[in-house]
Amino acid sequence: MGIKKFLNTIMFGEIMSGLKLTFRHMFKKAVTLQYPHEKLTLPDGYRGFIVHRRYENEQERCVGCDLCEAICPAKAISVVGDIHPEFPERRYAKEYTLDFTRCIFCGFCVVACPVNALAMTKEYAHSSFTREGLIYSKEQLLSLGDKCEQDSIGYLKFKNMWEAENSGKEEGRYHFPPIPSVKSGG
Amino acid sequence: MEQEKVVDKVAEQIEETRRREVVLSSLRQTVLNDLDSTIQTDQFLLNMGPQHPSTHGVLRVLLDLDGERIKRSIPDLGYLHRGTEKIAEYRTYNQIIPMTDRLDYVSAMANNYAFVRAVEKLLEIKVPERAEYIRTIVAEVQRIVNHLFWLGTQALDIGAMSVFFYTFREREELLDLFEIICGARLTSNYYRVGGVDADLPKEFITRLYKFLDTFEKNIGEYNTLLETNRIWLARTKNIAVITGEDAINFGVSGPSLRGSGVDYDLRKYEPYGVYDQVEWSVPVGTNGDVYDRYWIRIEEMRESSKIIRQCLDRLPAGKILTDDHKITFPDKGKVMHNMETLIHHFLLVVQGFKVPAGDTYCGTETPKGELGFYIVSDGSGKPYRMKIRAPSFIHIGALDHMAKGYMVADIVTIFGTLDIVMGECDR
Repeated sequence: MGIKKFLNTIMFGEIMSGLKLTFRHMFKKAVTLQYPHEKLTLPDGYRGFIVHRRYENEQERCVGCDLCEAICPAKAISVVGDIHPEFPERRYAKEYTLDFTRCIFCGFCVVACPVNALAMTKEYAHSSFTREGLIYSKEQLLSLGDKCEQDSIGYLKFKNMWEAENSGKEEGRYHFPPIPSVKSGG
Repeated sequence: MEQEKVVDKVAEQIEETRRREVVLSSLRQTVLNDLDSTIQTDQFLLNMGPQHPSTHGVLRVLLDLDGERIKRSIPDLGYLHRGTEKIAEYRTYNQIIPMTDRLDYVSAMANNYAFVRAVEKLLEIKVPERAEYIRTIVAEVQRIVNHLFWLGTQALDIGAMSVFFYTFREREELLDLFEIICGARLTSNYYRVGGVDADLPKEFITRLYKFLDTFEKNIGEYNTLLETNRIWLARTKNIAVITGEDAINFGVSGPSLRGSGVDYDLRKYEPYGVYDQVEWSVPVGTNGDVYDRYWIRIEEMRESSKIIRQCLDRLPAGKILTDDHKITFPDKGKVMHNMETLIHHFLLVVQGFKVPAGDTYCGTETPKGELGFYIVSDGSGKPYRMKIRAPSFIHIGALDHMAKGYMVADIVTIFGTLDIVMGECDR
């Protein structure tokens, strides 16, 4: 034992075993990704950029109820609701701004929205040279939502909000049925 | 004649004084020269931080040095102060949960848990069994993540770089698991008052099992690199020794306290979650030095993996959020079809749930130590006052005591061993 310990000390035994370990790792598969060329597959519940959603007939869902503004912990959302110019029984968001420089991506606005007008996507690489470039208007949010519709559906499905939307068959008073398409003259 | 004599005398006197002055000044010069050539023994005040790679954030420390020995170290805090406690007075309880993510940003889940527990204590509600299991699993995964992060950076600070790569390899796997359940790697926002936000998907469970199977081997890898390495031993053994009594007096908690031989773990002594239903033990050190605290954290990772495995084996079926819809948001389906539920949903979002008037303190064993939330409620939807007992802040108090008498090169080791995160410290 004594001689073994002595040999271990003069031969730097423990350092040698450490070097052996790092040397062996040279032949293992790398765990890193070459980012811009390879990308991670993100899970459905990923909390990326927030988007606005539409009904199937391209009608925007947002009713301008201010709930997202109320629940936002970072005060990133501001909504101005108004009566819809074409359908006086209906309200819509006249102005809707989402300040992504303030947003903390907590996902509460999606929880608060009573009409599933908001959803989070797997978009994360949006940047801008100016601050104004990250303050999104409703039109920008809608076009981003059109671009990543599948992501937003996946998010709502993961959070158990999608089933709820489609399971309710009864046409309740507060079920918001899509308005007949304006384009088709309805 | 008489006058001339007097003038001569005066001139002579002046000459004499001048001569004396010359002699004196030359003497003074020689004395000063001698002084210059000797070693200066004055104290030396060294400013370290706030922009320093090893202070783990924006911590500034004034070091009072005597040669290479530290005589005094004065921490200067507040560079990362965001006023979380004050902002919390203007936010509903739900809105505060994502804010607690940003306290100790390397273990956000643990902060969520601590806050949510304090609110639940005020509300006196019971959490469904499955939610308790999920909470315990996730909190222990977070403990492993935190200790892996700590081990990697501590070894990096001391000079062993490969450990950092290996610990971060495992940490990434666990953060990916967090991403599956809550959608973000660090700012989790996963715990809710009355349960958790999302159920564990199948993928999470299989991947976590797979991780646990290889984790023991991976801990072996870190130990191969560190445990008997003579450089590591020289840098950690008998450094920053703190006795158990001193540690208690300074209010140190968590692994830093247990390293000094005090068997104190809130998970054992005030069990919450399902810690009293699983088998595990509390590792306790003896010397109270950096090496013992390293050993404790390694052992804690092993114990955590034991807890996770038992919890996963027993994971019961059931709800993940309490049924009390005065507290949790109602189902989206009902919100869309039922007017009363919609009104209720509006009230919950705008005003938050009401918490009965009173105050409470609730401490939770986070990876860093005891994270406590003291909440005073006036019966409204927002806390009247919220005080955070952050372990990092308390540990900084013991820094001067622990660093006294050690070399200036050890100060980085001493920061690391306390496991401080400035986000939590400055709040």
